[in-house]
Amino acid sequence: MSFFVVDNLSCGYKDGFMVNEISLNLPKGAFAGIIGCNGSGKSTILKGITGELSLLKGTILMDDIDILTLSVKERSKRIAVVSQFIEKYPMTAEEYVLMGRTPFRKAFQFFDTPEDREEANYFLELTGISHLKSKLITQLSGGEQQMVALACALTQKPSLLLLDEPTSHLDITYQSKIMNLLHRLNEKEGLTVIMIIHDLNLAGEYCNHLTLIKDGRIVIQGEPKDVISSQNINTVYNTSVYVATNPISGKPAIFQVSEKWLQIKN
Amino acid sequence: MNKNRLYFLIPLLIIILSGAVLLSLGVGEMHLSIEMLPGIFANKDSMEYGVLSQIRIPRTLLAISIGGSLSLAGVILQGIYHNPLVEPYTLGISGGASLGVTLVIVTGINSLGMITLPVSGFAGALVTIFLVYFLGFRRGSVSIGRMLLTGVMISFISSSLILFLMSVTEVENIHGIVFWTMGSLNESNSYMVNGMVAVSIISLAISYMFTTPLNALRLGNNMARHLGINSQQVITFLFILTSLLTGTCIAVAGVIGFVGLIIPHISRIIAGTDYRYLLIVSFLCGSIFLLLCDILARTIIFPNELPIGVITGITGGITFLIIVSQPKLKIKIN
Repeated sequence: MSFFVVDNLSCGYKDGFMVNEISLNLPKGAFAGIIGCNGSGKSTILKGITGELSLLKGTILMDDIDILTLSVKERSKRIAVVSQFIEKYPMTAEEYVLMGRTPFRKAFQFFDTPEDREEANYFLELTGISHLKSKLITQLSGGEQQMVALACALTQKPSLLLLDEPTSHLDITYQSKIMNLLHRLNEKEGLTVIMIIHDLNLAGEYCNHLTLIKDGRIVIQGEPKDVISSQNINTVYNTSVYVATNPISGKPAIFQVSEKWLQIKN
Repeated sequence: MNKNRLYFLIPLLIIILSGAVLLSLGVGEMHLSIEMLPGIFANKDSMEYGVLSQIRIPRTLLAISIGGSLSLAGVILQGIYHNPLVEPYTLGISGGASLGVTLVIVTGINSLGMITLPVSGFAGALVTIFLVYFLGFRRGSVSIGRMLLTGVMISFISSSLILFLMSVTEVENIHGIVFWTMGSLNESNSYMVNGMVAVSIISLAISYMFTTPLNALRLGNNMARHLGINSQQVITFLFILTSLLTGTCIAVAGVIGFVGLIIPHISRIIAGTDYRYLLIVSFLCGSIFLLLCDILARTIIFPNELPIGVITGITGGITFLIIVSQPKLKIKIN
């Protein structure tokens, strides 16, 4: 059952950087990660999918609908995006989360309906930040801001959630909070998730599909245990790692090995 | 921002505006107090009624509609450009309008009638809007930096051309040019006054159809897109709306600076960042501010009159400096 299909996508910037021949085929309820070095084209792929960059080639189908033919508004009811950082605008967390109701607003609707508030409050609760709702975004910590952004995206009621490195600047408390929440939504509500993720251990632990990118092309994709192998990681990242298995979850985990020990071992 | 405070704020501003209106109707060579007003309206043959209906009411209406319009244009432009320094005149519209008027005065076309001045001002504004639009918008995506620079450059070119025209024309014409550029709310043509009032109300109403996109644009153009807002289209439309509004204001009253820059900032401080409240608060604050400035301009060196731009610049600038020097206040546009 294919739910989200990217076929032979090419897109890029005027200065010449391009991603090429990107194909993905994800079932409903996939928890997919895109991994690769800085500058390998992960964000470019995401921008192609969100429509921020126009495609030079390729199609994107979601539920057999070509999403490029949809209006921006229709798309926003299906796909929500969480960026790495949020705009630090002096508005309260609740106001920010309410912005997630934008796609559902009628043309002449000035005030928030009770339904708008209900939805926003539900996701404030779910992300564990309802106690912060009357605080200004600018006064929140990085982790709390990320939760606000996530709550806002969930309020859009998307069936596909795209995240650009949602955990990269957070401590492990917030990393686990966000990843576990996404995991729960993924398993219970069938929310399909695609995220760019730097932390290979988190990627291996949570994702059920990984795509490894190098120089704008896919190196390998599939199940985490096949993608995260010492050989793949060593070649793509040009770094020595040792891959083992997480003793609790049985998922792949990597250990970075320092130069010194590498020499001793050899 | 506390919603309860906002519900209180808008009626309060309307009350202040009403007070300013009464003051504006009463102050002048012929002093009219509030108690006298009903009597005057009942007796349409009196001289007082003539003064009110021919001079003070049009002038008051003009101050309200132009102050509100410039402030509204400013708050929208700052919102779509994410830039606190943008104001209706930054985009070069005032420069283009002034150049249009200068050309008409220098070539002597203005002897055909007073109406040629506003018409040429509006035409100059239109030409500028097209230039900024085609140079700034048409090449793919909106480039805010390029648009602003285009506007500033058009201003420079216009003012240089105006200086050039002033240096080659006769002395009498210079007076006319300077007088127009300084701005004035002295407009005797009732069609122009009514037209301005209508344009300002219609613009306010149209801008209220864009509160959702404007609110979403606070989170950045990309985020607005993700929320289902066609940022490009909204920005283009609002640019054209505010430009036409500004062009109309300039055509009717000349260049009245500063209202569109500082009033939006003051409105943000008192009303927060939600455009559903900010638009009307900005409009009301602009009306009150320009009306009070006009009363000052009329009374300070009575029986003569100061150019209104002088008053808006000095009072507005000083007020704003005092406000921003308060360490507790944070000003943020984007």
